[in-house]
Amino acid sequence: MRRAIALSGLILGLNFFANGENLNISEIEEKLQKLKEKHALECSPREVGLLESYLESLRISQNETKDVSNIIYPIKVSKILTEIEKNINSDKDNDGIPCYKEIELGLNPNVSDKIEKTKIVEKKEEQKLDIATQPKEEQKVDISPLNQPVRIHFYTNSAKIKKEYLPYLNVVSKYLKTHQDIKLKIVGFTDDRGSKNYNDKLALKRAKAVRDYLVKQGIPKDRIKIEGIGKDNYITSNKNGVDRFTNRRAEFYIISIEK
Amino acid sequence: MVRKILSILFILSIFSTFSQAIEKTSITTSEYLDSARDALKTAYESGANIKAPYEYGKAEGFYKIAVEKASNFNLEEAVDAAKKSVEWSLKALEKSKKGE
Repeated sequence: MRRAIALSGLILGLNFFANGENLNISEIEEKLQKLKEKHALECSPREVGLLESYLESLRISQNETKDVSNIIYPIKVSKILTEIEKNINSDKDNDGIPCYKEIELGLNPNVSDKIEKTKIVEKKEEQKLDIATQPKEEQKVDISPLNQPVRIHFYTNSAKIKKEYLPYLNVVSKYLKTHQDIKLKIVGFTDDRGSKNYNDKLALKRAKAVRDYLVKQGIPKDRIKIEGIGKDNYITSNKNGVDRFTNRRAEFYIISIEK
Repeated sequence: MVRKILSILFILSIFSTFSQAIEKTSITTSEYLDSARDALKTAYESGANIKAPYEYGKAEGFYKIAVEKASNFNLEEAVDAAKKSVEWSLKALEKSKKGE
């Protein structure tokens, strides 16, 4: 009697263990989709690849056979999911910004933002020095990058402004409203894929989309010039998705200071 | 440069022997696993784990699955996973060569 109770208890326990670890595939897929929305592919591509291969295999084995993998794989999958989550929130370049946030802001998660910031500060100081040494008449025409940390990035083959960038564009429009004496030039860029002709048009479309938004915000059209540079002046090497995303952008330049 | 050409030739030879073997159907599961491992190794040596991490991750995942399935005597699924691993290793290699 005791033996029978112990055996049935063991069987029940094993059953519970197997069912407990048996994660639902659709649940995993949903989780992965959410992580992808948080730029899992850019922050943790290897792990996403691993996870997808296990998912594919799980789908096949659930339909066809029942073996040990149905118990082991869900455990592995949940471990990989945790790893992806960790990588998304990690700060590889030690600049205090997590990977997913850097992608959203259009920064490179592998290059420290501190370096970029110090470069901007150095540039500003150089400009200040130039202004101090130059005669006043020469200040009338000056081409320099806008001293605001603004750069708009686009999806592949698209000139639609992403919602995340609207606050930054509002910063630009505010800047233009408070500095009535300046004019702005918006330059559109693309990544290295596609023909030159197509990319030139796309780059101009991107610049135009940004200008249209600023005009809607009440900036006169004649204060904004646009240019499409297309497949040129890359910031990074176009070697991977993150780099290409960094290169698909619109930048802002002050083109004239009228005293 | 010579190294790169040699590595491409090597992976192509793996792929051709692999496809020839499929035609013959006399290939054993362990041979499939060897081909998958060799392809993965070539991809790794060409820097695919850094230049094409997503594709490399998939190849690695399928290779692990193939080994696990084979150890459970689930040979059919092991062979399928090994084939997929070779496919993804090739994709990773191709992408890493394009990026240069």
